[in-house]
Amino acid sequence: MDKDELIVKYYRGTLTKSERLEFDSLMQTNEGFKTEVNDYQDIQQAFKLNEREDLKTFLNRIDKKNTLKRPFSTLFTKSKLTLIATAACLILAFFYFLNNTQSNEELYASFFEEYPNVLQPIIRGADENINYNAFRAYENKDYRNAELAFENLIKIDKNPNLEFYYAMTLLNQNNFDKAKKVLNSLKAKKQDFLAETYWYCALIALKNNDLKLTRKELEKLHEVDSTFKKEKREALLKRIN
Amino acid sequence: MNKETFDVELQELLRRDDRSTLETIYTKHKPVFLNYAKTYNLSEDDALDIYQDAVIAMYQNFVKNQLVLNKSSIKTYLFGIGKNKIFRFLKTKNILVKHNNLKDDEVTEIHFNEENPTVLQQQLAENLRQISDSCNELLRLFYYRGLTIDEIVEQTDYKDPNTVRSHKSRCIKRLKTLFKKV
Repeated sequence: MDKDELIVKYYRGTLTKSERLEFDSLMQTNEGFKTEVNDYQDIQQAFKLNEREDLKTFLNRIDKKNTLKRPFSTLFTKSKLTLIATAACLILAFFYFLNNTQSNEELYASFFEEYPNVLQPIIRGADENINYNAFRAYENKDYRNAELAFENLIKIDKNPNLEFYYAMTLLNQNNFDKAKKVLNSLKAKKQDFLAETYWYCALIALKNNDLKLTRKELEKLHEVDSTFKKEKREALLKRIN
Repeated sequence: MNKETFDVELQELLRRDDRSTLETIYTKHKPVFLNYAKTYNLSEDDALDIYQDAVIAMYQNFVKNQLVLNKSSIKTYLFGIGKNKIFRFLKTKNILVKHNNLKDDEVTEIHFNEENPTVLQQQLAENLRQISDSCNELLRLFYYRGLTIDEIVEQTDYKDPNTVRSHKSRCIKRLKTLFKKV
């Protein structure tokens, strides 16, 4: 067999028995072949190094491109005329805002975001487990079925983290009272989503037009984790004060 | 097309060194991974760095080793590598992994042995940047992607195996000449 092919197949791990014998024999008898085999690995590693660098640049470019796609950022890449027009719109919007403050319901809608599934990122394959259906439904925004699945899970495993996601399924179906009840019960439990719990309690209070309670929940959030949703927390406080 | 078939097709594209597929996968899983990394109290910058490293390691394994995932999806594999990289990062910072939720963490860590490059390999890497584009591309196909001479003929415009061999031989000579100059 061609020597190049033997070397490639050796590194691919696809040599047949007879090819392996030929390879071993050449390694022992042919110094030039042995050097080529060793060179192969070194050159492969060298390419790997360069590729790593190139790929890193490639991924950073993707991030940059995606950032520039955001509408606000694009404001700064447009022509002067567009900038002037945009500035005029912003000024108009500002005066409109002064005369038409948002209702608490609108504020809730602008601050509420579905909490992502960070508990069980694996959703398929060999790692499927008892939580699988609940999280799959949650990720698919099938909140009714996610609610039922989490409800069943909690009966078996009183895991507060699962209860948090149960509350999230309720909240996403606008079942505020029940979500509030579950979230309030979670405040005293040891769990991974305490800051999130206070944040969503604040939003529910806002939705219920209870600004005093909204402020209280936001203050509590600041106490348990001052970094979580810092900008949004401060922005919301400004809007309701 | 169901998810499994789609995943198999994506894997095939990754093995073929398809950068647009890499972009799709990178963008798709980024937010979930960054949220996952958050559970280990990593800063956003560190989490992004680790995610990129994991994506690169995964991609190189598809391209260089022609990886085929039979039992898991691309996402499972990517998160497994990512978890390993998170643990390694925390270890270098002497941070004890105290993850309240370990029992619920369903990501299976995938151990990755990445050897540090030798001085010779680093020098070779530099020299590879100095040879012509056509040499670089040919050597890349042979040494990095592990294609045989016949496969290179199939996938490129070279007219026959002998042309590939003689070009490859000239390129290797050029690479070694550069090495001697150092």
